[in-house]
Amino acid sequence: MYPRRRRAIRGVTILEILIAIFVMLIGITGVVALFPVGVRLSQMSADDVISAMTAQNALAAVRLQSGLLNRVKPYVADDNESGDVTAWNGTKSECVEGFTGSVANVGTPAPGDTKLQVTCAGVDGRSLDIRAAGGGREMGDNCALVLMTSGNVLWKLYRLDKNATLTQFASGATVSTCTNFPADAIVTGDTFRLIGARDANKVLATVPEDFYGSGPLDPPYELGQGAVKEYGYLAIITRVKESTSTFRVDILVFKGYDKSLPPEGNLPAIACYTTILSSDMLK
Amino acid sequence: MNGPSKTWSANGSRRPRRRAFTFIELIVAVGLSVILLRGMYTVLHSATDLTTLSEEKMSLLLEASAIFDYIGADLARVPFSGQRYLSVTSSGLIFKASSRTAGDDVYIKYEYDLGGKKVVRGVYKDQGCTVAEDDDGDGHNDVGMVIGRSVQSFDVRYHASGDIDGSWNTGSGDPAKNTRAIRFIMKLSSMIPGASLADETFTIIIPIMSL
Repeated sequence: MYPRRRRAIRGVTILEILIAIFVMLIGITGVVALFPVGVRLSQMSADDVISAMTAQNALAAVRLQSGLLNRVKPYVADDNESGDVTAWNGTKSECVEGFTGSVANVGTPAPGDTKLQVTCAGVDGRSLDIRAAGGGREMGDNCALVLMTSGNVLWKLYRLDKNATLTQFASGATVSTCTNFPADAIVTGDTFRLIGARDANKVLATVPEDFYGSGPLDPPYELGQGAVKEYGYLAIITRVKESTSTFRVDILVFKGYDKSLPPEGNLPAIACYTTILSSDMLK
Repeated sequence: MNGPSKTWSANGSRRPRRRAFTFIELIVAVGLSVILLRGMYTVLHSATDLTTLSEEKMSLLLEASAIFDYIGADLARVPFSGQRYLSVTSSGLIFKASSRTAGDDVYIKYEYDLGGKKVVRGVYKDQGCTVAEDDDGDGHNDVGMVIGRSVQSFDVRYHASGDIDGSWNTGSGDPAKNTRAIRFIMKLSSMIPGASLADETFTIIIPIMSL
């Protein structure tokens, strides 16, 4: 009878254990990495809900501001109301959504660059959307925005894009000059709104009104100055060109700004809403 | 650290045999695992706390939004013309709403139940709230409908002046004739067990443009 052989079982080396731990760590790290993403998405959802409530309050405030609405002057026709936007991407203009036109002499773009030229005198009384739909920083290209003021005009430029990282809110009253915004401040998908441009010689030209207020998380509701609010809104009110009794209200919702100051500078809106009010609805 | 060395078995077979772990190796492996698990626990714990807070906040937001939407939909039923009725107190309001059937007026009342920490909605046939009304036609009187729970405070004011930064009133004047908007300030607390989120206060303004 042979003695029973005990089968030797090999152990696991420390190197194998370390590898196993390393692999496990990679897997767990992937799972853990999902938590901040979830938190961020949840915060975005919260912002969306608060934005909707903020916009609701903003619209209510606008509807109650009879004095404010009376200051919004009706549209006055301008001789230069057409041909106000020119854009191109290197050799073609189709890259800029919604705009076509001939290439203006505001510089020679490099291939792939996107350039917009806006003649302020030509947007008198209108709220003009300008969207950069081509080029962009992530592609290594530039999107340039050039404002050409062919007369003494008063203009305001708002960035409407929700995800903009560099916001260039601007305004000015200049005579026959050209304002070049930094090319790297504009990226693909950015949307700007140019309003309030007017010819100083036209006294009755349209002047949109700005109206600031707080969001729904700031009781008691007040319009006092100086308080830092977590959420706030800017309502831009313009009369619709086609009807003097109709108002267009653009509501931009901001997060984390002092409502005593216009939300200018590098503060992008977290949401944008547009609605139409008829004077019949305003009492 | 070197791995276990290969040895020959006692019976002279040629199969290599590996020695088992040494105690030091086990201690090192366990120590590394403990350090890793400790780090992962810290990260997971923080992430879980943040997630819970976000869920609580979303829950509050959605509840507040739902309550205000409900009230807004009811206030949209204030008659556009003709006789109006609106009574505002600091903790509720009752108003005449358009009828479910022609000529059958209904009154809707929102009231804050301080003891129950809830906002209750009721539909009645008259402003005295003596007779309940089946507004939705389901065969049951629409009274005692709880539209908001865990409500810590509920403040109602009406607005009648020309500008929004004018006065907001309650229980005085004649809100039935000239009310232009109702403002609600409501403080909600989370209904999630063990919630750590502080009470959140919401303000909403609902215009009444049917004057």
